[in-house]
Amino acid sequence: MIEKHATTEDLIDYLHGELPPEADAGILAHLEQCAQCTALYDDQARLSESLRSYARSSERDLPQGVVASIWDAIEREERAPSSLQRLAAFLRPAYALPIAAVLVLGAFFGYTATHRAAATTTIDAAIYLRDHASLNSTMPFGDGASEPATLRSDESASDQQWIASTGTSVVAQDQ
Amino acid sequence: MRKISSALALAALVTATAGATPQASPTALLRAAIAAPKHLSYTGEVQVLRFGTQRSEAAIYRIEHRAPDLTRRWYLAPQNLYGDSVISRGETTYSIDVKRDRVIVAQDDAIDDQVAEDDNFAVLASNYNAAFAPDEQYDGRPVRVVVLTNKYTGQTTMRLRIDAKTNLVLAKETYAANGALSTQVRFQQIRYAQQIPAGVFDVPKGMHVVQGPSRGLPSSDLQHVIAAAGFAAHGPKYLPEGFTPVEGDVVDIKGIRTLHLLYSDGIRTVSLFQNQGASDIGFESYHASSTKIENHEAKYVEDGATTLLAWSESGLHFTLVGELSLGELEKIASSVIP
Amino acid sequence: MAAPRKPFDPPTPEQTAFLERAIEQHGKATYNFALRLTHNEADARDLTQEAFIRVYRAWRSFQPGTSFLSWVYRIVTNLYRDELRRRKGRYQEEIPEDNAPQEFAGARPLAVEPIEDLVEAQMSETMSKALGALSPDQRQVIVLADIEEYSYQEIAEIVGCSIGTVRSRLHRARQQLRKLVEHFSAKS
Repeated sequence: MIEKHATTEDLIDYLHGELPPEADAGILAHLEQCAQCTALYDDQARLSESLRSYARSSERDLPQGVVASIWDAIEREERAPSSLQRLAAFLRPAYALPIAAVLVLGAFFGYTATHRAAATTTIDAAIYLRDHASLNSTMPFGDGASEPATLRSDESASDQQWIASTGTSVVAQDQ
Repeated sequence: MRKISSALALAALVTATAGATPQASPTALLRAAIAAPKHLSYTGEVQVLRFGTQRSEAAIYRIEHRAPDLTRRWYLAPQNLYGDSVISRGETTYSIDVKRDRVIVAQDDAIDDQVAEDDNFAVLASNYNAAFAPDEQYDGRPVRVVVLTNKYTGQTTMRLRIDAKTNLVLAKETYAANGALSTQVRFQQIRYAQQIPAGVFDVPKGMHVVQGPSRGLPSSDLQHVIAAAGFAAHGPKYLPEGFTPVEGDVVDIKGIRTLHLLYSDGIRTVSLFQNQGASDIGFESYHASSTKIENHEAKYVEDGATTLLAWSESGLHFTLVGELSLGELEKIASSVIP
Repeated sequence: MAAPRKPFDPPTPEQTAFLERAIEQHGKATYNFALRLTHNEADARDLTQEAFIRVYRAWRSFQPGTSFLSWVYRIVTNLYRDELRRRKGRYQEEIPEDNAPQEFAGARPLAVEPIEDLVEAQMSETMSKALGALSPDQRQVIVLADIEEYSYQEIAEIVGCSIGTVRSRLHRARQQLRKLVEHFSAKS
């Protein structure tokens, strides 16, 4: 008795050995009795074999130039001075003292400023929501892709302060 | 994998399928709809409605679009936006604020990212069944109606009305997880123009120019982005069926270095923000409710189709935002640091 | 956006030996994977070079006992995607001339009939064009499933998506590939 015919998707999964054991056995038993589904299965199997045949015929050796270029690139990276090395070279005795003084003072004021501003920075939920919405621009039917999004009609007081201090605006993210 | 050997497998394959004629499909129409603005110039009025749980929003703007990538939107409502406009020139956007007499310039490489658009459409086509609903008349024009249904949940997620002649999307509706209407975008008085003068898209002179946030091309190598965050960052181990990583980048929010990872199933998206240090999340604009993520206190906001969930764990502050239910976000959250 | 390098961190013999072994054992497979993804020899060379540089930098993060090839394929996949987006080009490109099937360089096996060679070359070119016309995601899943013969679970880990997405993407990709094969075969 031929049961329900197999779908193309089932046959593809069966071909790749991705069906659970019971379903796999069911398809096998069905194929033994159903010429129609066997023809579909053979069709899928031919496609896979064509792909493998193509892969075999188009396989190339790793070009020697690639291996050489990998080692060249790594060697260039290892030779390039890091930022600390450049700084060490820059801090010659003639400049060291006044620069060191600037650094110390800068560190002191920086520490003081940081210490004073140890209070937590609050990021309003609206900023996360807008940042999330802005990345929708690459979604096929996202509001930023084929249609512009709504501008929010209100701005919180904290966002106004941020605008004033940074010169940027959350409004710019509303597309 | 099972194998059969066939010396002329490909020839047999071609012979077996010869004669089949491809027919127009809902998916092909969607593809054409995405591409339509690249070769169509048009003007009209757009109405946007967003229905949230806590508040709803509406806007109306006039639009002029010159193919392939010049667009001007001039706001008619709400009142505090009246007179403002946004001019997009490829990847650069100019937000003109007449009340403050300033122009905010922002760059986003992702806007004109054709490859990402192609990839994301492939994800959409993998996760959603597209089917035609009966044709309609809309704004005096015949339209094809395409309904997108999630393959895993069986839920209708989006309905599009597409101009039968030009393939431009004239109306779009999206639905929340419970089936409620979430957003509605509608064109009115659409007119297709052969040519719109380029001067329409010039940025007004004499206004104070402010550099807005610029977003370079995010990376699709999420593991690389996580490693470059500057702190011991994490990605989710669980995602709903059909979701795939899209991109990630490290952004500066109010001086706090923040990792942003984006995942999508082609229509719905979910972002995971995380940062370290002295920061917390404020809910000045929304009313937040409390919940727990594995014994950690958490706050959430449900706003129409979008849910936000925030919690702190292991010295990191996490915020999930997505077009998913609270339950789904909680499952994702629990998997971030198992 | 690379993580900052530690200064004064010279390469260890183990790191160098790791890369040498990696290139020796997996260089060819990686290059061919890159070639099938990019459909372009120059791009495949660049991608392979960059992938092994990443392997060298990240050698400590490879977990022994896991599949090295899966790890490097994941690197190649992500590098390719990033490169495509940097170029902002359409994914459907004409196959460049240098990507025609390789000419037979060695001695001909006596048993092969010339006519089969010709048919094989034509079929290979058709398949090459058909694969080249797929989207990168579709081409990638077909290469991983049908040429590299990874399981759906392994593909999901390499690509970074769910098994369900792998399954549905492969179904669609194969459907699309069959149409393209028919199309290019009719043209030739």
